[in-house]
Amino acid sequence: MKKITFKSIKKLIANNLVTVLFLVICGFGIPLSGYSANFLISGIIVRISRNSFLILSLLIPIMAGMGLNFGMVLGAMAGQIGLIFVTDWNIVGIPAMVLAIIISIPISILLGQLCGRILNKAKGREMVTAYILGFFMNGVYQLVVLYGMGSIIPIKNTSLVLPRGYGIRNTVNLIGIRQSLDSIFNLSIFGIKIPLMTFIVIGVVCVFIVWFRKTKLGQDMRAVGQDMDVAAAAGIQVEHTRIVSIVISTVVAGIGMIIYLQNIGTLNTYNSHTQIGMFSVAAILVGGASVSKANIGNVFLGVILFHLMFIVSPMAGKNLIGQAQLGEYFRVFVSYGVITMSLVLYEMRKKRENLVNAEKLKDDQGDSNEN
Amino acid sequence: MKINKRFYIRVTAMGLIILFAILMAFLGKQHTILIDNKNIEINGVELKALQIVEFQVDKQPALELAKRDRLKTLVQGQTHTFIITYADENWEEFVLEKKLKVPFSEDMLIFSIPAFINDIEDVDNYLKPFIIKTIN
Repeated sequence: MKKITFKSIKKLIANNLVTVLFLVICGFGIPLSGYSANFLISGIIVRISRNSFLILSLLIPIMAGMGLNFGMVLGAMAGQIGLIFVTDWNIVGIPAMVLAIIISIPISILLGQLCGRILNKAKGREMVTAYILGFFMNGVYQLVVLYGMGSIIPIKNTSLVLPRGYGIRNTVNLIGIRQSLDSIFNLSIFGIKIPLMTFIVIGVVCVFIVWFRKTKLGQDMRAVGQDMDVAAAAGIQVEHTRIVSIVISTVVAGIGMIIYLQNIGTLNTYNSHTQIGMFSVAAILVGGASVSKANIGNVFLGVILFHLMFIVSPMAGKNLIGQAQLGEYFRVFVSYGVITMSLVLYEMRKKRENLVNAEKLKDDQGDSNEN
Repeated sequence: MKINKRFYIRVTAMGLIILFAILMAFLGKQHTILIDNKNIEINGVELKALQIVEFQVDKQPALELAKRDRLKTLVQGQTHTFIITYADENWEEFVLEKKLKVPFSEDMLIFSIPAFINDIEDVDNYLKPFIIKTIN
Protein backbone atom coordinates (compact mmCIF):
# COMPACT_ATOMS: atom_id res chain seq x y z
CA MET A 1 0.00 0.00 0.00
CA LYS A 2 1.18 3.51 -0.83
CA LYS A 3 2.21 5.50 2.23
CA ILE A 4 0.24 8.69 2.86
CA THR A 5 2.67 11.53 3.44
CA PHE A 6 2.27 15.28 3.81
CA LYS A 7 3.81 15.68 0.37
CA SER A 8 1.32 13.29 -1.24
CA ILE A 9 -1.62 15.10 0.40
CA LYS A 10 -0.22 18.44 -0.77
CA LYS A 11 0.11 17.06 -4.30
CA LEU A 12 -3.45 15.68 -4.23
CA ILE A 13 -4.82 19.07 -3.11
CA ALA A 14 -2.74 20.91 -5.72
CA ASN A 15 -4.03 18.60 -8.45
CA ASN A 16 -7.65 18.98 -7.35
CA LEU A 17 -7.63 22.55 -6.09
CA VAL A 18 -10.98 23.54 -7.61
CA THR A 19 -12.74 20.47 -6.21
CA VAL A 20 -11.23 21.02 -2.77
CA LEU A 21 -12.24 24.69 -2.87
CA PHE A 22 -15.81 23.70 -3.68
CA LEU A 23 -15.87 21.13 -0.91
CA VAL A 24 -14.81 23.90 1.48
CA ILE A 25 -17.48 26.31 0.11
CA CYS A 26 -20.18 23.64 0.42
CA GLY A 27 -18.87 22.69 3.88
CA PHE A 28 -19.40 26.28 5.05
CA GLY A 29 -22.57 26.88 3.05
CA ILE A 30 -24.63 23.86 4.13
CA PRO A 31 -24.82 24.71 7.87
CA LEU A 32 -25.33 28.40 7.05
CA SER A 33 -28.26 27.65 4.73
CA GLY A 34 -30.07 25.61 7.37
CA TYR A 35 -31.49 23.21 4.79
CA SER A 36 -32.33 19.65 5.87
CA ALA A 37 -30.41 16.69 4.45
CA ASN A 38 -33.61 15.44 2.80
CA PHE A 39 -34.11 18.72 0.95
CA LEU A 40 -30.50 18.88 -0.20
CA ILE A 41 -30.43 15.27 -1.41
CA SER A 42 -33.69 15.59 -3.34
CA GLY A 43 -32.45 18.87 -4.86
CA ILE A 44 -29.19 17.23 -5.91
CA ILE A 45 -30.99 14.22 -7.42
CA VAL A 46 -33.19 16.50 -9.51
CA ARG A 47 -30.15 18.39 -10.74
CA ILE A 48 -28.17 15.26 -11.52
CA SER A 49 -31.06 13.97 -13.64
CA ARG A 50 -31.45 17.40 -15.29
CA ASN A 51 -27.85 18.30 -16.09
CA SER A 52 -25.72 15.13 -16.33
CA PHE A 53 -26.64 14.37 -19.94
CA LEU A 54 -25.57 17.85 -21.03
CA ILE A 55 -22.27 17.66 -19.18
CA LEU A 56 -21.52 14.19 -20.57
CA SER A 57 -21.50 15.79 -24.02
CA LEU A 58 -18.23 17.52 -23.06
CA LEU A 59 -16.26 14.30 -22.59
CA ILE A 60 -15.66 13.28 -26.20
CA PRO A 61 -14.11 16.57 -27.43
CA ILE A 62 -11.80 16.55 -24.39
CA MET A 63 -10.76 13.04 -25.41
CA ALA A 64 -9.97 14.33 -28.91
CA GLY A 65 -7.82 17.11 -27.47
CA MET A 66 -10.24 19.89 -28.37
CA GLY A 67 -10.69 21.13 -24.84
CA LEU A 68 -13.98 22.10 -23.29
CA ASN A 69 -16.58 22.34 -26.02
CA PHE A 70 -18.23 25.71 -25.49
CA GLY A 71 -19.86 25.00 -28.84
CA MET A 72 -22.31 22.69 -27.09
CA VAL A 73 -24.74 25.63 -27.10
CA LEU A 74 -25.19 24.89 -30.80
CA GLY A 75 -26.65 21.51 -29.87
CA ALA A 76 -28.77 23.16 -27.21
CA MET A 77 -30.21 25.48 -29.86
CA ALA A 78 -31.01 22.47 -32.07
CA GLY A 79 -32.80 20.79 -29.15
CA GLN A 80 -34.83 23.93 -28.54
CA ILE A 81 -35.85 24.15 -32.20
CA GLY A 82 -37.08 20.54 -31.97
CA LEU A 83 -39.11 21.44 -28.88
CA ILE A 84 -40.64 24.52 -30.53
CA PHE A 85 -41.84 22.36 -33.44
CA VAL A 86 -43.38 19.60 -31.29
CA THR A 87 -45.13 22.23 -29.17
CA ASP A 88 -46.51 23.84 -32.31
CA TRP A 89 -47.75 20.50 -33.61
CA ASN A 90 -49.40 19.81 -30.26
CA ILE A 91 -47.53 16.55 -29.69
CA VAL A 92 -47.13 15.51 -26.07
CA GLY A 93 -45.44 12.98 -23.79
CA ILE A 94 -42.58 10.65 -24.64
CA PRO A 95 -43.45 10.63 -28.39
CA ALA A 96 -42.97 14.42 -28.33
CA MET A 97 -39.54 14.04 -26.74
CA VAL A 98 -38.51 11.39 -29.25
CA LEU A 99 -39.77 13.51 -32.14
CA ALA A 100 -37.95 16.58 -30.80
CA ILE A 101 -34.77 14.48 -30.62
CA ILE A 102 -35.28 13.26 -34.21
CA ILE A 103 -35.74 16.87 -35.38
CA SER A 104 -32.75 18.13 -33.39
CA ILE A 105 -30.26 15.48 -34.58
CA PRO A 106 -29.89 16.62 -38.23
CA ILE A 107 -29.64 20.26 -37.09
CA SER A 108 -27.04 19.27 -34.49
CA ILE A 109 -25.05 17.31 -37.09
CA LEU A 110 -25.07 20.29 -39.44
CA LEU A 111 -24.04 22.75 -36.73
CA GLY A 112 -21.47 20.28 -35.37
CA GLN A 113 -19.93 19.90 -38.82
CA LEU A 114 -19.71 23.68 -39.15
CA CYS A 115 -18.23 24.04 -35.68
CA GLY A 116 -15.72 21.20 -36.28
CA ARG A 117 -14.55 22.68 -39.58
CA ILE A 118 -14.04 26.10 -38.01
CA LEU A 119 -12.21 24.59 -35.03
CA ASN A 120 -9.91 22.74 -37.42
CA LYS A 121 -8.89 26.12 -38.76
CA ALA A 122 -8.19 27.35 -35.23
CA LYS A 123 -6.09 24.52 -33.80
CA GLY A 124 -4.79 25.31 -30.35
CA ARG A 125 -7.44 27.98 -29.79
CA GLU A 126 -10.49 25.71 -29.90
CA MET A 127 -12.14 26.83 -26.69
CA VAL A 128 -12.21 30.55 -27.37
CA THR A 129 -13.19 29.93 -31.00
CA ALA A 130 -16.08 27.67 -29.97
CA TYR A 131 -17.14 30.23 -27.36
CA ILE A 132 -17.31 33.03 -29.91
CA LEU A 133 -18.92 30.71 -32.45
CA GLY A 134 -21.65 30.11 -29.85
CA PHE A 135 -22.33 33.88 -29.77
CA PHE A 136 -22.37 34.03 -33.57
CA MET A 137 -24.78 31.11 -33.87
CA ASN A 138 -26.93 32.66 -31.17
CA GLY A 139 -27.45 35.56 -33.56
CA VAL A 140 -28.41 33.18 -36.36
CA TYR A 141 -30.75 31.30 -33.99
CA GLN A 142 -32.42 34.56 -32.97
CA LEU A 143 -32.81 35.55 -36.61
CA VAL A 144 -34.49 32.23 -37.43
CA VAL A 145 -36.69 32.07 -34.33
CA LEU A 146 -37.54 35.77 -34.05
CA TYR A 147 -38.10 36.53 -37.73
CA GLY A 148 -38.21 33.24 -39.65
CA MET A 149 -40.70 31.31 -37.56
CA GLY A 150 -44.27 32.25 -38.31
CA SER A 151 -43.31 34.01 -41.54
CA ILE A 152 -41.12 31.62 -43.59
CA ILE A 153 -41.37 28.58 -41.32
CA PRO A 154 -45.07 27.91 -40.67
CA ILE A 155 -46.14 28.06 -37.00
CA LYS A 156 -49.88 27.74 -36.54
CA ASN A 157 -50.13 27.69 -32.74
CA THR A 158 -51.10 31.25 -31.82
CA SER A 159 -49.95 30.82 -28.23
CA LEU A 160 -46.39 30.35 -29.54
CA VAL A 161 -46.27 33.29 -31.93
CA LEU A 162 -45.78 36.91 -30.93
CA PRO A 163 -48.84 39.18 -31.32
CA ARG A 164 -47.31 40.77 -34.45
CA GLY A 165 -47.82 37.46 -36.29
CA TYR A 166 -44.29 36.10 -36.57
CA GLY A 167 -41.49 35.19 -34.18
CA ILE A 168 -41.67 32.94 -31.13
CA ARG A 169 -42.66 34.34 -27.74
CA ASN A 170 -40.06 34.76 -25.00
CA THR A 171 -41.43 31.82 -23.03
CA VAL A 172 -42.82 28.59 -24.41
CA ASN A 173 -44.90 26.44 -22.10
CA LEU A 174 -43.72 22.83 -22.36
CA ILE A 175 -46.61 21.49 -20.31
CA GLY A 176 -47.13 18.69 -22.84
CA ILE A 177 -43.74 17.14 -22.18
CA ARG A 178 -43.12 18.42 -18.65
CA GLN A 179 -41.37 15.66 -16.69
CA SER A 180 -42.64 13.03 -19.12
CA LEU A 181 -39.35 11.15 -18.89
CA ASP A 182 -38.85 11.76 -15.17
CA SER A 183 -42.27 10.38 -14.29
CA ILE A 184 -42.04 7.03 -16.12
CA PHE A 185 -40.47 5.06 -13.25
CA ASN A 186 -40.25 6.76 -9.93
CA LEU A 187 -38.67 5.39 -6.82
CA SER A 188 -39.31 7.01 -3.48
CA ILE A 189 -36.80 6.51 -0.67
CA PHE A 190 -37.42 8.40 2.59
CA GLY A 191 -39.61 10.82 0.67
CA ILE A 192 -36.91 11.49 -1.91
CA LYS A 193 -38.19 10.96 -5.44
CA ILE A 194 -35.73 9.32 -7.81
CA PRO A 195 -36.52 9.56 -11.54
CA LEU A 196 -35.25 6.10 -12.48
CA MET A 197 -35.92 6.31 -16.21
CA THR A 198 -33.85 9.49 -16.57
CA PHE A 199 -31.02 7.82 -14.67
CA ILE A 200 -31.29 4.78 -16.96
CA VAL A 201 -30.97 7.07 -20.00
CA ILE A 202 -27.95 8.81 -18.43
CA GLY A 203 -26.49 5.38 -17.64
CA VAL A 204 -26.89 4.32 -21.27
CA VAL A 205 -24.88 7.37 -22.39
CA CYS A 206 -22.18 6.56 -19.83
CA VAL A 207 -21.99 3.00 -21.18
CA PHE A 208 -21.86 4.42 -24.71
CA ILE A 209 -18.92 6.66 -23.78
CA VAL A 210 -17.03 3.78 -22.10
CA TRP A 211 -17.68 1.57 -25.14
CA PHE A 212 -16.84 4.37 -27.57
CA ARG A 213 -13.40 4.85 -26.00
CA LYS A 214 -12.57 1.25 -26.89
CA THR A 215 -13.65 1.50 -30.53
CA LYS A 216 -11.29 2.29 -33.40
CA LEU A 217 -12.69 5.81 -33.64
CA GLY A 218 -12.35 6.30 -29.89
CA GLN A 219 -8.73 5.16 -29.97
CA ASP A 220 -8.10 7.48 -32.91
CA MET A 221 -9.56 10.37 -30.93
CA ARG A 222 -7.29 9.61 -28.00
CA ALA A 223 -4.31 9.48 -30.31
CA VAL A 224 -5.30 12.80 -31.90
CA GLY A 225 -5.80 14.25 -28.43
CA GLN A 226 -2.32 13.24 -27.35
CA ASP A 227 -0.42 14.42 -30.40
CA MET A 228 -1.90 15.43 -33.72
CA ASP A 229 1.35 15.10 -35.67
CA VAL A 230 2.04 11.60 -34.38
CA ALA A 231 -1.58 10.61 -35.07
CA ALA A 232 -1.35 11.97 -38.63
CA ALA A 233 1.91 10.08 -39.12
CA ALA A 234 0.14 6.92 -37.95
CA GLY A 235 -2.40 7.35 -40.75
CA ILE A 236 -5.27 8.77 -38.72
CA GLN A 237 -7.41 11.37 -40.46
CA VAL A 238 -6.88 14.01 -37.79
CA GLU A 239 -9.25 16.69 -39.07
CA HIS A 240 -12.05 14.24 -39.78
CA THR A 241 -11.68 12.66 -36.33
CA ARG A 242 -11.87 16.09 -34.69
CA ILE A 243 -15.01 16.98 -36.65
CA VAL A 244 -16.65 13.67 -35.65
CA SER A 245 -15.91 14.35 -31.98
CA ILE A 246 -17.57 17.77 -32.17
CA VAL A 247 -20.56 16.35 -34.08
CA ILE A 248 -21.09 13.65 -31.41
CA SER A 249 -20.78 16.26 -28.67
CA THR A 250 -23.28 18.58 -30.38
CA VAL A 251 -25.81 15.78 -30.91
CA VAL A 252 -25.53 14.64 -27.28
CA ALA A 253 -25.88 18.27 -26.13
CA GLY A 254 -29.05 18.62 -28.23
CA ILE A 255 -30.59 15.54 -26.61
CA GLY A 256 -29.34 16.73 -23.23
CA MET A 257 -31.07 20.07 -23.70
CA ILE A 258 -34.37 18.30 -24.43
CA ILE A 259 -33.99 16.23 -21.23
CA TYR A 260 -33.05 19.41 -19.32
CA LEU A 261 -36.08 21.33 -20.56
CA GLN A 262 -38.56 18.49 -20.05
CA ASN A 263 -37.54 18.55 -16.41
CA ILE A 264 -38.03 22.32 -16.09
CA GLY A 265 -41.22 22.46 -18.18
CA THR A 266 -40.64 25.93 -19.61
CA LEU A 267 -38.52 27.02 -22.52
CA ASN A 268 -36.97 30.44 -22.28
CA THR A 269 -36.68 30.80 -26.07
CA TYR A 270 -33.86 33.35 -26.22
CA ASN A 271 -31.94 32.62 -23.03
CA SER A 272 -32.19 28.93 -22.06
CA HIS A 273 -29.21 27.87 -24.17
CA THR A 274 -26.92 30.81 -23.46
CA GLN A 275 -25.96 29.83 -19.91
CA ILE A 276 -25.88 26.09 -20.58
CA GLY A 277 -22.35 25.98 -22.00
CA MET A 278 -20.90 28.03 -19.18
CA PHE A 279 -22.57 26.11 -16.38
CA SER A 280 -21.80 22.69 -17.88
CA VAL A 281 -18.13 23.58 -18.36
CA ALA A 282 -17.95 24.99 -14.82
CA ALA A 283 -19.56 21.83 -13.42
CA ILE A 284 -17.14 19.42 -15.13
CA LEU A 285 -14.17 21.54 -13.99
CA VAL A 286 -15.46 21.53 -10.42
CA GLY A 287 -15.61 17.74 -10.70
CA GLY A 288 -11.84 17.68 -11.18
CA ALA A 289 -11.59 17.59 -14.96
CA SER A 290 -9.09 19.65 -16.85
CA VAL A 291 -8.88 20.92 -20.42
CA SER A 292 -7.10 17.76 -21.51
CA LYS A 293 -8.41 15.11 -19.12
CA ALA A 294 -11.92 14.19 -18.00
CA ASN A 295 -13.90 11.12 -17.09
CA ILE A 296 -17.45 10.15 -16.18
CA GLY A 297 -16.66 10.45 -12.45
CA ASN A 298 -15.75 14.13 -12.94
CA VAL A 299 -19.19 14.72 -14.46
CA PHE A 300 -21.14 13.38 -11.50
CA LEU A 301 -18.87 14.84 -8.82
CA GLY A 302 -19.04 18.16 -10.65
CA VAL A 303 -22.83 18.15 -10.87
CA ILE A 304 -23.13 17.30 -7.18
CA LEU A 305 -20.68 19.96 -5.93
CA PHE A 306 -21.56 22.72 -8.36
CA HIS A 307 -25.29 22.37 -7.94
CA LEU A 308 -25.02 21.88 -4.20
CA MET A 309 -23.45 25.32 -4.19
CA PHE A 310 -26.31 26.54 -6.41
CA ILE A 311 -28.94 25.27 -3.98
CA VAL A 312 -27.17 26.39 -0.84
CA SER A 313 -25.77 29.81 -1.77
CA PRO A 314 -28.97 31.97 -1.91
CA MET A 315 -30.14 30.86 1.53
CA ALA A 316 -26.61 30.94 2.96
CA GLY A 317 -26.24 34.48 1.59
CA LYS A 318 -29.57 35.47 3.11
CA ASN A 319 -28.70 34.04 6.51
CA LEU A 320 -25.20 35.51 6.46
CA ILE A 321 -25.82 39.03 5.13
CA GLY A 322 -29.61 39.20 5.08
CA GLN A 323 -29.87 39.28 1.29
CA ALA A 324 -30.64 36.27 -0.93
CA GLN A 325 -29.49 38.29 -3.92
CA LEU A 326 -25.92 37.99 -2.65
CA GLY A 327 -26.10 34.22 -3.12
CA GLU A 328 -27.35 34.74 -6.67
CA TYR A 329 -24.41 37.00 -7.48
CA PHE A 330 -22.11 34.61 -5.71
CA ARG A 331 -23.05 31.59 -7.79
CA VAL A 332 -22.68 33.43 -11.10
CA PHE A 333 -19.37 34.90 -10.01
CA VAL A 334 -18.20 31.48 -8.79
CA SER A 335 -19.11 29.69 -12.04
CA TYR A 336 -17.08 32.17 -14.09
CA GLY A 337 -14.33 32.18 -11.47
CA VAL A 338 -14.08 28.39 -11.51
CA ILE A 339 -13.51 28.34 -15.25
CA THR A 340 -10.88 31.08 -15.04
CA MET A 341 -9.13 29.42 -12.12
CA SER A 342 -9.12 26.00 -13.79
CA LEU A 343 -7.71 27.41 -17.00
CA VAL A 344 -5.03 29.38 -15.16
CA LEU A 345 -4.08 26.34 -13.07
CA TYR A 346 -4.00 24.17 -16.18
CA GLU A 347 -1.70 26.60 -17.98
CA MET A 348 0.53 26.93 -14.90
CA ARG A 349 0.77 23.15 -14.56
CA LYS A 350 1.54 22.78 -18.27
CA LYS A 351 4.27 25.42 -18.08
CA ARG A 352 5.75 23.80 -14.98
CA GLU A 353 5.74 20.39 -16.67
CA ASN A 354 7.36 21.86 -19.78
CA LEU A 355 10.01 23.49 -17.63
CA VAL A 356 10.74 20.24 -15.77
CA ASN A 357 10.92 18.35 -19.08
CA ALA A 358 13.26 20.98 -20.52
CA GLU A 359 15.51 20.77 -17.45
CA LYS A 360 15.51 16.98 -17.73
CA LEU A 361 16.39 17.15 -21.42
CA LYS A 362 19.14 19.64 -20.69
CA ASP A 363 20.61 17.37 -18.01
CA ASP A 364 20.38 14.33 -20.31
CA GLN A 365 22.09 16.20 -23.15
CA GLY A 366 24.76 17.44 -20.73
CA ASP A 367 25.40 13.87 -19.59
CA SER A 368 25.65 12.53 -23.14
CA ASN A 369 28.07 15.38 -24.12
CA GLU A 370 30.30 14.56 -21.16
CA ASN A 371 30.36 10.90 -22.20
CA MET B 1 -21.65 8.47 -59.40
CA LYS B 2 -21.01 5.02 -58.04
CA ILE B 3 -23.76 3.87 -55.71
CA ASN B 4 -22.50 1.35 -53.18
CA LYS B 5 -24.06 -0.77 -50.44
CA ARG B 6 -23.40 1.88 -47.78
CA PHE B 7 -25.55 4.36 -49.73
CA TYR B 8 -28.53 1.99 -49.69
CA ILE B 9 -28.08 1.33 -45.97
CA ARG B 10 -28.04 5.08 -45.27
CA VAL B 11 -31.14 5.73 -47.37
CA THR B 12 -32.99 2.84 -45.67
CA ALA B 13 -31.95 4.07 -42.22
CA MET B 14 -33.14 7.60 -43.04
CA GLY B 15 -36.43 6.24 -44.36
CA LEU B 16 -36.92 4.21 -41.16
CA ILE B 17 -36.17 7.26 -39.01
CA ILE B 18 -38.71 9.35 -40.93
CA LEU B 19 -41.31 6.58 -40.56
CA PHE B 20 -40.53 6.38 -36.84
CA ALA B 21 -40.93 10.17 -36.55
CA ILE B 22 -44.34 9.96 -38.27
CA LEU B 23 -45.36 7.16 -35.88
CA MET B 24 -44.29 9.32 -32.91
CA ALA B 25 -46.34 12.23 -34.27
CA PHE B 26 -49.42 10.02 -34.51
CA LEU B 27 -48.90 8.50 -31.07
CA GLY B 28 -48.23 11.80 -29.34
CA LYS B 29 -50.71 14.12 -31.05
CA GLN B 30 -52.91 15.76 -28.45
CA HIS B 31 -56.48 16.83 -29.18
CA THR B 32 -58.73 19.00 -27.08
CA ILE B 33 -62.28 17.68 -26.99
CA LEU B 34 -65.08 19.93 -25.82
CA ILE B 35 -67.95 17.85 -24.47
CA ASP B 36 -71.17 19.66 -25.11
CA ASN B 37 -74.50 18.92 -23.44
CA LYS B 38 -76.62 21.64 -25.06
CA ASN B 39 -79.64 21.59 -27.34
CA ILE B 40 -78.55 21.07 -30.93
CA GLU B 41 -80.41 21.32 -34.22
CA ILE B 42 -79.65 18.67 -36.83
CA ASN B 43 -81.48 18.64 -40.19
CA GLY B 44 -84.20 20.89 -38.77
CA VAL B 45 -84.82 18.66 -35.74
CA GLU B 46 -83.94 20.01 -32.34
CA LEU B 47 -82.29 17.48 -30.04
CA LYS B 48 -82.70 18.23 -26.35
CA ALA B 49 -79.85 18.26 -23.86
CA LEU B 50 -79.90 15.67 -21.07
CA GLN B 51 -80.62 16.65 -17.48
CA ILE B 52 -77.60 14.73 -16.24
CA VAL B 53 -75.12 12.59 -18.12
CA GLU B 54 -71.78 10.92 -17.48
CA PHE B 55 -69.02 11.10 -20.07
CA GLN B 56 -65.85 9.05 -20.18
CA VAL B 57 -63.09 8.90 -22.77
CA ASP B 58 -60.57 6.03 -22.74
CA LYS B 59 -59.58 5.31 -19.14
CA GLN B 60 -59.80 8.88 -17.94
CA PRO B 61 -61.98 9.70 -14.92
CA ALA B 62 -65.66 10.08 -15.81
CA LEU B 63 -67.06 13.61 -16.10
CA GLU B 64 -70.58 14.51 -15.07
CA LEU B 65 -72.45 17.07 -17.12
CA ALA B 66 -75.71 18.80 -16.32
CA LYS B 67 -77.95 20.50 -18.89
CA ARG B 68 -76.17 23.32 -20.83
CA ASP B 69 -72.73 22.22 -19.55
CA ARG B 70 -69.61 22.25 -21.70
CA LEU B 71 -66.44 20.62 -20.36
CA LYS B 72 -62.98 20.12 -21.78
CA THR B 73 -60.87 17.00 -21.95
CA LEU B 74 -57.48 16.26 -23.49
CA VAL B 75 -56.72 13.06 -25.38
CA GLN B 76 -53.48 11.72 -26.81
CA GLY B 77 -53.32 9.59 -29.96
CA GLN B 78 -55.78 8.99 -32.75
CA THR B 79 -58.26 6.31 -31.64
CA HIS B 80 -60.40 6.81 -28.56
CA THR B 81 -63.29 5.10 -26.84
CA PHE B 82 -66.15 7.35 -25.84
CA ILE B 83 -68.60 6.10 -23.20
CA ILE B 84 -71.83 7.91 -22.36
CA THR B 85 -73.96 6.85 -19.40
CA TYR B 86 -77.40 8.42 -19.01
CA ALA B 87 -80.85 7.66 -17.63
CA ASP B 88 -84.23 8.22 -19.28
CA GLU B 89 -87.44 9.56 -17.65
CA ASN B 90 -88.04 6.18 -15.98
CA TRP B 91 -84.52 6.22 -14.49
CA GLU B 92 -83.54 3.32 -16.70
CA GLU B 93 -79.77 3.52 -17.27
CA PHE B 94 -78.23 3.29 -20.73
CA VAL B 95 -74.58 2.98 -21.67
CA LEU B 96 -73.42 3.90 -25.16
CA GLU B 97 -69.87 3.12 -26.26
CA LYS B 98 -68.14 3.99 -29.48
CA LYS B 99 -64.54 3.75 -30.66
CA LEU B 100 -63.66 6.69 -32.88
CA LYS B 101 -60.74 7.99 -34.88
CA VAL B 102 -59.98 11.65 -34.35
CA PRO B 103 -58.70 13.55 -37.41
CA PHE B 104 -54.91 14.11 -37.02
CA SER B 105 -54.97 17.67 -38.27
CA GLU B 106 -57.63 18.88 -35.84
CA ASP B 107 -56.39 20.33 -32.55
CA MET B 108 -59.82 21.03 -31.09
CA LEU B 109 -63.10 19.17 -31.60
CA ILE B 110 -66.58 19.45 -30.16
CA PHE B 111 -68.50 16.36 -29.08
CA SER B 112 -72.25 16.82 -28.87
CA ILE B 113 -73.86 14.40 -26.40
CA PRO B 114 -77.49 14.85 -27.63
CA ALA B 115 -76.39 14.18 -31.22
CA PHE B 116 -74.36 11.14 -30.09
CA ILE B 117 -77.36 9.65 -28.30
CA ASN B 118 -79.63 10.43 -31.26
CA ASP B 119 -77.50 8.53 -33.79
CA ILE B 120 -74.30 6.85 -32.64
CA GLU B 121 -73.27 6.01 -36.22
CA ASP B 122 -73.54 9.56 -37.55
CA VAL B 123 -70.06 10.68 -36.46
CA ASP B 124 -70.05 13.82 -38.61
CA ASN B 125 -72.97 15.24 -36.64
CA TYR B 126 -71.62 14.76 -33.13
CA LEU B 127 -67.85 15.10 -33.53
CA LYS B 128 -66.95 18.28 -35.36
CA PRO B 129 -63.84 20.45 -35.57
CA PHE B 130 -64.06 23.49 -33.33
CA ILE B 131 -62.34 26.76 -34.16
CA ILE B 132 -62.21 29.48 -31.53
CA LYS B 133 -63.60 32.69 -32.98
CA THR B 134 -61.17 35.56 -32.67
CA ILE B 135 -61.96 39.25 -32.90
CA ASN B 136 -59.67 41.10 -35.29
